[in-house]
Amino acid sequence: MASSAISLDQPRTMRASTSPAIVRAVRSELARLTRRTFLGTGTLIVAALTLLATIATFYGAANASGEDGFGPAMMGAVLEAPGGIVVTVQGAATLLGIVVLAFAATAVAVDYSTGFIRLLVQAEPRRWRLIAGKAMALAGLTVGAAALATLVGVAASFVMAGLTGVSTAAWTSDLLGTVGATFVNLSLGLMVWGAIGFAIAVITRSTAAAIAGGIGYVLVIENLLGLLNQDLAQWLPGSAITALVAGGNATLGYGTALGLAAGYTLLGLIVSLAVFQRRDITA
Amino acid sequence: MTARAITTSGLTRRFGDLVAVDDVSLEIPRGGVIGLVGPNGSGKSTTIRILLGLIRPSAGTAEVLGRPIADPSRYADRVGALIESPAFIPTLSARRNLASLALLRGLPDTRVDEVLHIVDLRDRADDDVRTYSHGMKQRLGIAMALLPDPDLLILDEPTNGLDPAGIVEIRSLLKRLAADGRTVIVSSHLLSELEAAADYVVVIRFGALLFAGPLAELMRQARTGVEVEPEHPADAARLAKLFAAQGWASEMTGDTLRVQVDPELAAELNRAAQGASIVLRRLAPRTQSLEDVFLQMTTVAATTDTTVRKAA
Repeated sequence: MASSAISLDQPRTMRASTSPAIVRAVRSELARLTRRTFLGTGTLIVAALTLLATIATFYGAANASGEDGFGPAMMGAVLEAPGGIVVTVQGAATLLGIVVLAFAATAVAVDYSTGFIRLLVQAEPRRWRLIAGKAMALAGLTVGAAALATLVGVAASFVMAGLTGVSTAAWTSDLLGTVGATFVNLSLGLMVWGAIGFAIAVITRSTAAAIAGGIGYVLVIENLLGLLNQDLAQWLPGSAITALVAGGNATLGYGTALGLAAGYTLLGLIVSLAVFQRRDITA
Repeated sequence: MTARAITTSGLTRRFGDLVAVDDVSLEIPRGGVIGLVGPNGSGKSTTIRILLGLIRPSAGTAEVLGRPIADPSRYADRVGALIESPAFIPTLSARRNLASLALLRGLPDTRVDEVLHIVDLRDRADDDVRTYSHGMKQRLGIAMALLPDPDLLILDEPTNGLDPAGIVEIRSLLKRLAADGRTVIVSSHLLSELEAAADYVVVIRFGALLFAGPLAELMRQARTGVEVEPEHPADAARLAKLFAAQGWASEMTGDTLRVQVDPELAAELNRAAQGASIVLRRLAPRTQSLEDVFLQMTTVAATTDTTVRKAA
């Protein structure tokens, strides 16, 4: 250890930052969330899933038998429509949502599993700022993931259209509008997934429990509830996310889906804040 | 500026039926090295967590640097702590772990380099912490505690995992920090370490305060005596009887007698042995160490309170 302690010989003028506390909380979170292993793995998975979904959709359309009423002609028509360029991105939304849920859950739970949470609360005892900082940092990364997925999906769609003989003539009629709307809707949909993972991780303080709980709910429990009561199911998070990413569907209009998604996200954050604010830090 | 680093009044924390901190009222002065001593599970860490705002007390009040613990944000930028074990993100470098906390506290980047220098981690600062040795992780934990350049530093087992040279360096660092006017609270099982560094000692057992005061005052409770070892082990029992006849209580450990008398009486002991034709191989004054006093104090407390403490 160094024989002379620098800090002891210097004037104690430590608080140099004039940034608002919430900005400091976001930057602190980003310093940890953008670590190589975490961000690199996330980027790779998002790109790979979107690419796989695109390849599968185009080859599926080219090879479909038509026995299920969704044959080459119909799928081809969907892909060749103006919105065909983003069909694969929308199709990958659920898989991407699971990735975002896992990412958010891990980001929260790792602070507990490593004990880092006690350092964070010591440094910033106003806990709502920590929650807000983490939520905002994760929201920023979620937007990045949606942008990456949209770019990969659009680029791969052009390539796959050329390989499978799908016409792209209609895609360019409102390319920016279609792609932009999909990017925004995908971002919002993924944020709901993220909020679910975030809330469950704050409650359980466990990555595995949060991922299993979140995915289990949306993919299993919500489907079971749908079998029992279809009217109820359309209002649940999974249906709202699906409708939102699609820009509205036959079950839910866009405005309703947007309102529900905002409500579920807000609910997730409120629950997270309420639990985190009251709970002892024993990690 | 308050003269007390920490004040608690009736501080209590219950976890269900278990009373982890039991009506602790104490005053810890500002400045110097304070030893926080207690067996495992005695409530040291819970007390520290309460003071840092991580855990809320069930009852009682406390102040840290003159500010109530109900609002830790009023003193958070003046307190640094290492609790139980160092916490870090293993897949991040030491620099990035520290930078994350520095950003949150609004500290300049230069402060990260300063604390890395203090704990001598600059050469490995950009390596992932998962590749660090136990001692290096411990140093990182200390660096994190030093980050805000705190007036009050709380370190739980700071020398854990350090080699002897590292322990000496930490002891020196703690003394320098205290000499600079800071209050350094050190919780440790290495009582010899505390004996060498602490000015003031707080002893806790079963969550209850057993002692809080200057180390010198605690050490006045240390029993003194003389260790006597006869040349022939067979004489030990005879020697014990001889001393008992003089009114000097003793206890035998192997071939050695520990006679509970003022060390000034060593010559008298020697004379008595000579009078009985017993030659002594060794005659040495002995004073109890902090560890002995601590064990004596906690053992006495245990025998007078053998029931598991439950909430009333």
